Amino acid sequence: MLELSGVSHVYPNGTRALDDVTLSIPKGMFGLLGPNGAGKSTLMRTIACLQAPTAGAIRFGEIDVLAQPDALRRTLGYLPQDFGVYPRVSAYQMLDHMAVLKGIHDARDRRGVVENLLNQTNLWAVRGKAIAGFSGGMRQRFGIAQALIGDPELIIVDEPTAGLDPEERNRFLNLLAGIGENVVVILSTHIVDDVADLCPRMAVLAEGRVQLEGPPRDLIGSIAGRVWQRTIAHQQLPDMQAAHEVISHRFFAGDIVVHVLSDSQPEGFAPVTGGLEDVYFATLAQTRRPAAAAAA
Amino acid sequence: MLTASIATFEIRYQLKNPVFWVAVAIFFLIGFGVAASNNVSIGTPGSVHENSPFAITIALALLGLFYLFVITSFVANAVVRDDVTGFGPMIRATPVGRSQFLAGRFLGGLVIAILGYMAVPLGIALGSAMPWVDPETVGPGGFATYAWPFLVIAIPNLILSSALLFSLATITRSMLASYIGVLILVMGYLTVSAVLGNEPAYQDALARFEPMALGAIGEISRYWTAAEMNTRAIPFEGNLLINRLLVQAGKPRGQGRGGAATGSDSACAPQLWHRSFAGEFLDAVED
Repeated sequence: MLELSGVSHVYPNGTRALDDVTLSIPKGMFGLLGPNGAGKSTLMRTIACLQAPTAGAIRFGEIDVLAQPDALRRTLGYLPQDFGVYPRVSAYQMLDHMAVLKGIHDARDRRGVVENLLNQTNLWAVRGKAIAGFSGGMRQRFGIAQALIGDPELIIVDEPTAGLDPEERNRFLNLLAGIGENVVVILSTHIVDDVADLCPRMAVLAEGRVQLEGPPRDLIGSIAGRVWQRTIAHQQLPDMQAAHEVISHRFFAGDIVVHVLSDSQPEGFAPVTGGLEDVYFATLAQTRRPAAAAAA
Repeated sequence: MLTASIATFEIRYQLKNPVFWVAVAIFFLIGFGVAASNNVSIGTPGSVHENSPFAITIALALLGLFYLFVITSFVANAVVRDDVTGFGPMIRATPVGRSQFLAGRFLGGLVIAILGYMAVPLGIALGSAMPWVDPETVGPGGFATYAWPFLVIAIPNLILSSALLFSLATITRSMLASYIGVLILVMGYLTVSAVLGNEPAYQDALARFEPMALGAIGEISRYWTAAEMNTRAIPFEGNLLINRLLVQAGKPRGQGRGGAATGSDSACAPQLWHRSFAGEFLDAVED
């Protein structure tokens, strides 16, 4: 449905934010996973026509996105990362205004749409309150409400769960899951669980390039039987990193639990069922290694 | 329709803005003070009524100069708000046309500027009705006494000022720069009119081209008696008429995309807006 081919973006200061990104994104929820600074937001902004890439082409269905940005905007819902709001404006008033800007001119239609979305996002009770006073979770729900105005077929949500507490995050993901399967939803995030929970397809973006793409289940399958775990004291970590391909480590009760990737069982390690997190960290580890080698 | 909806939102937004009400209070008090106090007056000789047509005309023309700062806070805010608050990306992801959007914002800001300026005639009317004011210094007043100069002096001035400041804010994209721009403008205006105002040779030119119409009012009323000042409405003819027409026509012009009807607002603003959008791509930072 959404086809990106060879999309590259180089900022004037020479930063190559996107490097030949080619992706085919079908209907349904698509997770775009990557560390901070991987180029996710640049890609999201590019797809949303907020900035033009230096090279490449983007098509959405019949729309040539770069040539007909207005055609795309008519069917686009966009929730940017860290957005701000006007002071003293209520959720209802702002949604109503956004509905006007999105081309719903009939006042009665608009009222139906806005009231519906306020209910759907659980903001009905606070519809008259100023958005500026909302909590992070409420604000994000407002953000998704405005993105859903006008039944868009392409919905872009950029890092929506960053900074939400677990309960708010769950509520937000529920909301996203309910959007429906007949539209393209691109969820960009650096939180692996967001993607694992929701997305039938995903891609990993790092250093501006697509490192990995596919259904999470297949990707997890690709590392099955190759992930091993061991608990060590934290002083041992450098040795461990030198000896093995450590894909991730995390603290547990003062010690460190390391995961390594290996075709055969290393000494002292126990097999562990790899999760999406291991896939993700293995991919990032591979991305970093050539860079580290070059630096050394 | 779209433009009207955007303007309505803008008006409702500004009506909740404390700046609007503070400005209304200040300009109401100035109007009130000028009328209610025997010691304070602007441009009127002693025997002229506090609420005479002439006094109101002068007050509306002169105070407009100070009101420029208030207008800046309305129209410049309308331009920079999206960037300052961080709501801009959502607006720019909608299919709304830039010209219509700008036209709506401008129109809303203009209406708010006009509404706020009504505090001046209101203040004068109320001030001259105060019991301590010597009845000898108060004329009959009446709605038309206030409405006429508001129509021929204040509104054209407000349209010109708003368009000018809207453009200024669109170019500079900054509230502070807009205020500094206005400051320079006002100082330049005061200097030029102080220098030229003393030269009889420039009297005619000043009457025609001086944008706040003070020159034209001065020329018309140069030989008026106090009785005339108390009774005559400022005649909308001669150099004042030319001046008012020029004020409406002589503003920056260009081809606004989409050709939205914005009365006579500066149509070059949308183009500058577009350009500044292009500029934004350049300094967008990777996050």
